Amino acid sequence: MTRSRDGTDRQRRFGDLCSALRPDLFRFAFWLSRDRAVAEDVVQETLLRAWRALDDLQDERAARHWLLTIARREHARLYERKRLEVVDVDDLIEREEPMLAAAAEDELADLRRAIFRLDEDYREPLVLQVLMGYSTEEIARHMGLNAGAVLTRLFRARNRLRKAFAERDAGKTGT
Amino acid sequence: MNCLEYRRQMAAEPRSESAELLAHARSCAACAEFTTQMRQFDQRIEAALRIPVPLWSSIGSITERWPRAPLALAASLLLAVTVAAILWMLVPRSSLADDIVDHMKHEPYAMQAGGTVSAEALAHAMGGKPMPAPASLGRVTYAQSCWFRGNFVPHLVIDEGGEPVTVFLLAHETVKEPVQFTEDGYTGVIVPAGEGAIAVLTWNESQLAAIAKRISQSMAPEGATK
Repeated sequence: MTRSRDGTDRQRRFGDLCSALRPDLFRFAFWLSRDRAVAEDVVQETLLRAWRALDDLQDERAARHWLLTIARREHARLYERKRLEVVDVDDLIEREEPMLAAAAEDELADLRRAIFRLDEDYREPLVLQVLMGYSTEEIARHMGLNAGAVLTRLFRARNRLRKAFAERDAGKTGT
Repeated sequence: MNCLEYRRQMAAEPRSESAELLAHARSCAACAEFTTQMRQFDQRIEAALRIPVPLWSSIGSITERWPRAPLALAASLLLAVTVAAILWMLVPRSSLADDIVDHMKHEPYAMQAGGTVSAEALAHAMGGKPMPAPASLGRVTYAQSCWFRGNFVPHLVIDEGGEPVTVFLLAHETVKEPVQFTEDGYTGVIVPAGEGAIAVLTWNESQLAAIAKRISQSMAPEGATK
């Protein structure tokens, strides 16, 4: 009886955690993989591993960081295991066009395409900082880098996006 | 700190509020303007990164997927798929309300949107789908094209006498008759509308039927109004 109640509590705790953090997890996995199907696989595997290791999570406030760390590992593992072929970024953009274009403004859809074109080294810290609210030190720990390297990547990521947008605007005005 | 150092730092951490950066911005109007631009651009990046999130199967599918051996895993997966398929065939519409409420939980901020959505943004959210008569909607405070059950569907919030009311236009779903539900604090109804269905959710149950009727009737094909 007690064991059953413990199991229900555990399941409820996990359910609450997942409901709150699934959107973040999916978005992180999507921007990492640039592939909706892969992102869904990563989220599924991450949650499975998280369920198995739920008792290791002592502080619920650390849950998001914990899950994103698992997701990052699962993403790498998935690519290693399935030996996914390298796909041209234009093909990736075409494949995920419904997702990228699901924005109220053209500018936003263009920005998504520009983020798609960023190298993973730049995309990941940008997502962690802008979307997940990570500090530079937290990104450094997450990615196994030093803070200086993280700042350089963030600087370059934004510079590339701004440059892509400057070129887009110049193209629109025909200059 | 000089302007070059400041801008390098700000381009890497636009939301930084370190004392040193703030002091420089106060003394340099050009760098203060640069900061404003970077923060605005960062808001655009954040909006771009917030892609629509698809719905998943229930948590139970995760927690029950943890058997002890590969064979047991395969067997239980097969069993789960079979049971799910049978249940799906027997009660095909039973989870539509669950999925709608689940989706609401993923966009909690939608109910708090206060501004009025432009006609252009509303048209974009509709994605070319049949649209209710504008008068039946009134003031729209939120409009997004959301990934739902394998399709992009318009997710709207309208202002009904100061109360937010959520409307999903489900062109890909069909219901034969109105289905009412109450779940996790939400009260809603799914009704046939045009070729598909609409779902209306609100915290004020007394308004529900009237709003659903008003919108669904405005979408009925000509000559089919009841």
